[in-house]
Amino acid sequence: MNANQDELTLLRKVRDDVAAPSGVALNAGRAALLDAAAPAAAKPVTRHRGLKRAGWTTLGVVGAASIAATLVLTNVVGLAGWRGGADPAAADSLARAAAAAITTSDPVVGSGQYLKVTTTAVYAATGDYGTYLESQNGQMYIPANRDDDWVWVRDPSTVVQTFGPGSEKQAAADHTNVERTEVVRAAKGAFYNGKPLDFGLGALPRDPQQLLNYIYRTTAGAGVSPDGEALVFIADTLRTGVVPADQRAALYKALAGIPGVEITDNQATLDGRTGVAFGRDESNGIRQEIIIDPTTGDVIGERYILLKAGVYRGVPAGSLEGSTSVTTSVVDAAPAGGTVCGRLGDPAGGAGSGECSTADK
Amino acid sequence: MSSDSEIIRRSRDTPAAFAELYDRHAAVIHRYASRRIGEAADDIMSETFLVAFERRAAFDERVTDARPWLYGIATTLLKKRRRQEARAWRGLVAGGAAEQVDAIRHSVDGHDDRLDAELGIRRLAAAIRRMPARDRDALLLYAWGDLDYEGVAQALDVPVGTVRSRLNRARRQLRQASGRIAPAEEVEHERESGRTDAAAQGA
Repeated sequence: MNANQDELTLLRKVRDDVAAPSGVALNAGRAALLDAAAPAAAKPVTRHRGLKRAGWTTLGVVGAASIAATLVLTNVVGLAGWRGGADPAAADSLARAAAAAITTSDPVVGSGQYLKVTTTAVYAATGDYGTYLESQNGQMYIPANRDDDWVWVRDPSTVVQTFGPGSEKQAAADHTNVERTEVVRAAKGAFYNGKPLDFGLGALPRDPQQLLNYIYRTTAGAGVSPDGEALVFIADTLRTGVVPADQRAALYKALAGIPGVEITDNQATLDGRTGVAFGRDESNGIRQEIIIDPTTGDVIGERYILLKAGVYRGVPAGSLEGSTSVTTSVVDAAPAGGTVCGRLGDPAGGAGSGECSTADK
Repeated sequence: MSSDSEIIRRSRDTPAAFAELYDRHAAVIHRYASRRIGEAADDIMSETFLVAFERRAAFDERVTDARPWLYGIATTLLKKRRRQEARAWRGLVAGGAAEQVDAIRHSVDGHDDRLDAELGIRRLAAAIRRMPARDRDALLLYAWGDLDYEGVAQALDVPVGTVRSRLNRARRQLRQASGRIAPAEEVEHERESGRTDAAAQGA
């Protein structure tokens, strides 16, 4: 051995055994990058902590980007329509749900009243030891005049389900302190000193085919696949709980136009309500489903099912990765109290900066 | 296969195309960061590509291989994690060296006995920890980033001559730490012995 090579040779061997990045880390980094690369219009709804979907595949994204560049031109000419659509049974059921939605009259929010959107959600949380499910429940009070104060009551997160010892250890490590309910209050829904919450519903075409083209166009390049991401967009929009009946109907018809969408469960129960689940199997092993009551046209919620083991260490195939149920009602008053930054302290860095004096944990 | 610079050029009009660069290089950036600071490598990997994406307009398109550029960004991000890195090196000086020897034992030449190798790593780690940051960056980009002198120069945005002097200084310190002294001409020889050219990647 050449004596002077020793140090470099040795150095090259030091920590040569480091682990490759985990699939979760690679996916998260990729998702963050694509989030930064996505046009602002492709992000209709702010996802909160833990909501970022893992699992972007090379083919899907690159394919979507090039399809977007070459094919998706306008709302009138685009990806919708000519490639077929959802499975016939799913399309039929969605048409019935759309018809029912149109006959539904939306609750009227009178002056001084609030639309109360109650969200009961479960998300997968992952750490060094394992993955478990935790709750993320809250109630958002949206004023009749959206320039007024919105109030968001966020319940403490609790452990919902664990998957074996590693998972239990992780859950215990993450939930050492008993959390308190957090009340956040902000004019225009600019919670945590962020931008005003604008659900962007005004931009959505009412014609189902144009709507679907619009969705393909604004989500191009994001997600596991263009069709999968179109479903995600629809779920994101419905999850807000503020979509008027006619737009809900258009979104159901747009969903019926997405190839690969099928009825995945005729009796899907979420938070005590039963409906039909419409989902699409994705190559990342996660199926997102939108659950609708076809007789009333109401949105019940959504859930994520793991199609294979190994998406998260120790979590078996068929497990629930997360779910959200949404109910709305009109109330006369919102809870008192609460500040713009809630538990995160005081606003910092100017209005709309998204900065609070205490960083999120 | 398109070169890195082609992907970056495409991403100016189609931002999502940048994901192709991520798919191509995320793992090597992670590996480099992981060797330097351990677990936080996930964050460095992600941040490196976010910064790169933001600065893609500044990328010199005459350079086909983006790796030196990406390594440079990662190295800058690592500066904010000095304490974490120092801790990792201290760990290697203290107990971690024995584990490393276990890991590399099979590749250590037969005449190097276990204790020797352990001591060697310990001294190496101690020397690297004490090194000026700019010398350490050059050394680790060269040894772990698998860049040649030109690549290290691009990554650190300094002239090749500067890289040469930093690396010579760093390696002298390593040799001193291990009690070995190498003749100057052999140092030069090592420089010439054709390392993989990073620029060949985009072909």
